[in-house]
Amino acid sequence: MTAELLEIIIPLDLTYRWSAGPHLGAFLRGLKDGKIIANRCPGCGRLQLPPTPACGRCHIGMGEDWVELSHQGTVISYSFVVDPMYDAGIGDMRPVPYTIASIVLDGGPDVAFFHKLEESTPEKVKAGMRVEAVFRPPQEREGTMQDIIHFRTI
Amino acid sequence: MSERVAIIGIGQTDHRYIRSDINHEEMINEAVRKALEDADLTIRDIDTVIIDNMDLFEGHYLSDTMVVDGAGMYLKPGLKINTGGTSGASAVATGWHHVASAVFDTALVIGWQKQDASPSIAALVTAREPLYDRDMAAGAVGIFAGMGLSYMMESGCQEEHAALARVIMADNARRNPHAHLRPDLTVDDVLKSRVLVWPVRLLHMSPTSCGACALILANEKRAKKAAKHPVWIKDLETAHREQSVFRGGCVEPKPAISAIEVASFRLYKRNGITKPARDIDVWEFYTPSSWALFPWMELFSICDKGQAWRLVEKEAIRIEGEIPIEPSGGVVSTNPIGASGVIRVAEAALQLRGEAGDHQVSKKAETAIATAWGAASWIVMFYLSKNL
Repeated sequence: MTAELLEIIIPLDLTYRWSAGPHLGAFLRGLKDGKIIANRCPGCGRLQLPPTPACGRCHIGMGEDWVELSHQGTVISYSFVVDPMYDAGIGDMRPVPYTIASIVLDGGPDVAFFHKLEESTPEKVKAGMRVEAVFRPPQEREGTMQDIIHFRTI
Repeated sequence: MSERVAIIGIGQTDHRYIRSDINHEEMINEAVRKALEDADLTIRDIDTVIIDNMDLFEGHYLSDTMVVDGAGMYLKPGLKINTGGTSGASAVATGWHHVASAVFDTALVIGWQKQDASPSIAALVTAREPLYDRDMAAGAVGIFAGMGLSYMMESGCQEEHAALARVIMADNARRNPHAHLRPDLTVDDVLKSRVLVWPVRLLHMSPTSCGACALILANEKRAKKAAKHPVWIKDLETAHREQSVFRGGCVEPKPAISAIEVASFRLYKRNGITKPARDIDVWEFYTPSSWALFPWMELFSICDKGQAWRLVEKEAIRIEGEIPIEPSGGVVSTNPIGASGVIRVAEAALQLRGEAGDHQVSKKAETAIATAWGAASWIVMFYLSKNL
């Protein structure tokens, strides 16, 4: 048999609807109001960001102890995304380069926040640097992670 | 007391970037036929079939619906496993449970991936929580970038050491005809390859491969009649936690004990392994980036914290070295993801049989550890032995 081997192209374009639930929902509503909201475990006192329904260590419900964290914090880890990366939010390639960082916000030592840094010069990014969240103007916020544009150096 | 379980048949395809000459079922069938031939058995000797791949990587859910006949599952009991990067190892563990429980005498375990269908990263990035961290997610590359940077900050390791680890894997892969990437690399080549997510460069990351791997497991009674020297799965262990990276979205600034430490401590204790670097002859880790090798070596207690890069610098991990790691060339050379966890066990077993060919380790190999690692820090590890 010497028939031609076939390859067929099949595009797939889908839309998804995700439920935020009461805990992550509280965090996303907080972003819309310009706030970064965590919650505290009534057992061990540990903070969770984003807020979660249960503490993994104590395995008890988190209750209603909501804690607003500072917009300022300290970078503990970072990296520079240079190669184009698929964005599962839009189903296309994400523009590069951008800087990602784990940031421990003031008042929340148990958890780190993961977001972009404005600073993209590798020599100027260091663990220990102080940064601050830059929110979009209130009328442009939609209750998503993009309500924070990035963290700028302070 | 559970039944003792041995590996009595091993089959794998050559792993390549593109296999447009065959479809999934044909590729799986290639590995299954090789495993049956290796064990000198027919499909009638197989009591149950466990399969795994990464669903949706080819844009196809329930991939088991299109491979049943080629896999040899027709009207047999069995199931499909899907646990992310650990899928292949989880499938082997499931096969072990099916035989160890005395419910089945033999089990066929098959892992495969055919990544020439689509960019797998498009499926992989959907693993992140869509409303919280997907915007920032940089796939597996981002995870290993964080791992590499933390390791450099804590240990004094430099980019050159990760590059040397990659060169050693390439040297190993060139001696393994099944391996996918087999380049002749220098440290300089690695350091000059383009940055994906710093400090991870293109050559630090595993390729997207097509391939399948099949193992036949048997109980002691059947293993003693096996065509080839049986390799015993003496013990296995799994542990699951999300450490340092995403724990339901939460990042712990100072991660507590890792799943790898928990699993390996338990397995070592049960088996009287007090000095892993001495007691284990061959290691087949699941290292999707050369940057992961250092934390793996330390978390599996091959050496103290902060010392792994020094062992790499001394090249002790080479095929001829004192602590041979990934003589197959590892996942960074070959990554048909659903098959990769099965390949780790297969390659470790070939070493204990003394049938690894050009990549057979120089030292006498009687014990091996094979592992897989995946999302949410799920670890699966096997302790293999040539002797019961």
